[in-house]
Amino acid sequence: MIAALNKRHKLAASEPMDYPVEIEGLTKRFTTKRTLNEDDLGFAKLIKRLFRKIKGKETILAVNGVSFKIKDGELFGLLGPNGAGKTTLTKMLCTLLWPNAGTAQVNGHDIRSEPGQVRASVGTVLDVYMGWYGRLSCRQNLLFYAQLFGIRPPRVRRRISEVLELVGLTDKADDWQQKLSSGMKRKLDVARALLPDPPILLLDEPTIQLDPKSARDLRRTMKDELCRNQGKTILWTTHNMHEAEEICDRVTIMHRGGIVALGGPEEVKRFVSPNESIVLEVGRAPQVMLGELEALEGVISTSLTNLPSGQSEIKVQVRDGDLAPRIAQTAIRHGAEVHSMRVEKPTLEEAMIKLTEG
Amino acid sequence: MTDLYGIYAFFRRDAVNVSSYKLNFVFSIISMFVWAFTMGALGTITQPAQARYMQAYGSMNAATFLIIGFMLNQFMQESQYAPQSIASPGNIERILLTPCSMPVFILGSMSWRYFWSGLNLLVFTFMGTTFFGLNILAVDWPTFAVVLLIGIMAMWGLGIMSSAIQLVTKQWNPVNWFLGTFSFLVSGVFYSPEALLTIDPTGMLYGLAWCLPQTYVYHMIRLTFVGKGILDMLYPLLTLSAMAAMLFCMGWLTFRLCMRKCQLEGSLGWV
Repeated sequence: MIAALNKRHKLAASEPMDYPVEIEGLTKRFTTKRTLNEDDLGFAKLIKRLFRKIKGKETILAVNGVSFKIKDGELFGLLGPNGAGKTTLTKMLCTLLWPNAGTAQVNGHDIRSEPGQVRASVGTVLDVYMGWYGRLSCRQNLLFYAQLFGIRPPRVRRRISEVLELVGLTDKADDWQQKLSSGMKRKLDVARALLPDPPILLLDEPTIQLDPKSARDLRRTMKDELCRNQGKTILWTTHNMHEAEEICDRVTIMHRGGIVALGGPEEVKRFVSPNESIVLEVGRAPQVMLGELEALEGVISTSLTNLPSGQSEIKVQVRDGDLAPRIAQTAIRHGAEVHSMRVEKPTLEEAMIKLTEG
Repeated sequence: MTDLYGIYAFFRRDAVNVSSYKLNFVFSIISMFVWAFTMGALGTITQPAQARYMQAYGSMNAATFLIIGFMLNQFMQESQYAPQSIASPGNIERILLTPCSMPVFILGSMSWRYFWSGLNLLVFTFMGTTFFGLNILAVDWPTFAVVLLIGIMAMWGLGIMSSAIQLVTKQWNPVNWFLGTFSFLVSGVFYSPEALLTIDPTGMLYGLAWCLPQTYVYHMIRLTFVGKGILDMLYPLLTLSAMAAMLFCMGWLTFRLCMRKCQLEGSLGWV
């Protein structure tokens, strides 16, 4: 069975496709029973509840008609606040969850009708530390999963060494899994996803619990080695907007189960806030100067804030950051003591907050 | 061949894991010897009381009767409880993310437990032969193997059904509760089901005993230890086979349905 799936998977993988992941109207609803609320927590009420059914069901629309395509060899960021539906979407793509509506093709296989082929095509990092055996070493744990992926003896040990090296765990290879630190356990999660050398990786917050250096190393490995050199397609779920800005070719922002923005990081930022701001910290700010700044071509608005230090901050919203020298000259001409000047560009973090607030 | 490779992966994982608890591993083996001796001793002590219910087994003594019952109980319990281990949330989600097929997953998860039960069987047989007059030369081994296999199939059916229900209920399932509660009382591990008629003249418990597949297994395996073959136990063997076929199909169907339900409602990873 495993060999057959791998064989099919290799055939599919050998034919590069424009969009290894295609999602069309994917919808997931969860119907849950009403849970106990604060009023139900009295001992007598709890006993009563044991013998009486809790009435009422709640339907949550976790993913609502989501559609997008991920290009071959692309590192695609799936962003959004907690509860936006990112993990649910990832779980549907790796066939752990069945959608209520819509379709998705992963490596050319339908997630509903060909779940086995889908699983053979993807490496998945999901919840932290699941499915490990504490008293087996990292190598023994990976050997178990490698065998389930059908990786055969001549290759299996070499492949385990390769993935351990990729995630920086070579020196911990023979340590028990339960002795690893939280970050190292996360790296082992990533190593397991890489084991079958899949063409597609679905990574749900892979850098969570990693220290800054390890997180940066992992991002570089994913971007440079796996995406650029090996041409893998990666869906990267994260809350870390700096991370998304650094590595993602395109991003989508999810909110309440739907997509609120989709495009390159710059596009998404411009979509939400097309303008930049030039911020000057000055000792003295004559009112006439503000009027003259506002009259400059390309300036949209100005604002003045008095800082606790006694200085003032002038924020000039402009269409183009190239206006900075002219703004500085105008300030100096009016006798303002300019202590510092910076250009504030819109960030993905601001974009996400704006798109998902309310 | 590939499926065997997958099953071996599970076996190796469990073997490494269990043997890493060295003291527990060694003392578990010592326990097997002690339990075998305990059953033999209990049988010897209760021989006069048991004798009148053991006429179907000819010359078999009560010590052998108990040793066989207890060692088979290990096999039956493993078959019943092993599928449940696959339903643990973290485990099932991770395995489902590999191309491993469901039969390999289930069989693989149980392989170590059967190896351990097999070891238990060897120890009990050795102790019974050495100290309590168990005669392995009289055993009809082919019939023994057939009955055990059919019995395991029937218990798998129940085990798979119970693990399926537990996928949905998470903490409790009626199948294991029923078997766990009534099995020792009625199925004939420690005494023949006929003995139940003395404490329950209505015959309800006796009737219940013959609704459980393990009662047939204990009865027929004991018969093989006094040299009886398939032809001597055709009726109970056919009954057990029918039970096994029905329970296995029902178990598998229930498992598929419950798995689908969990995948739909997203509760596969819940505890």
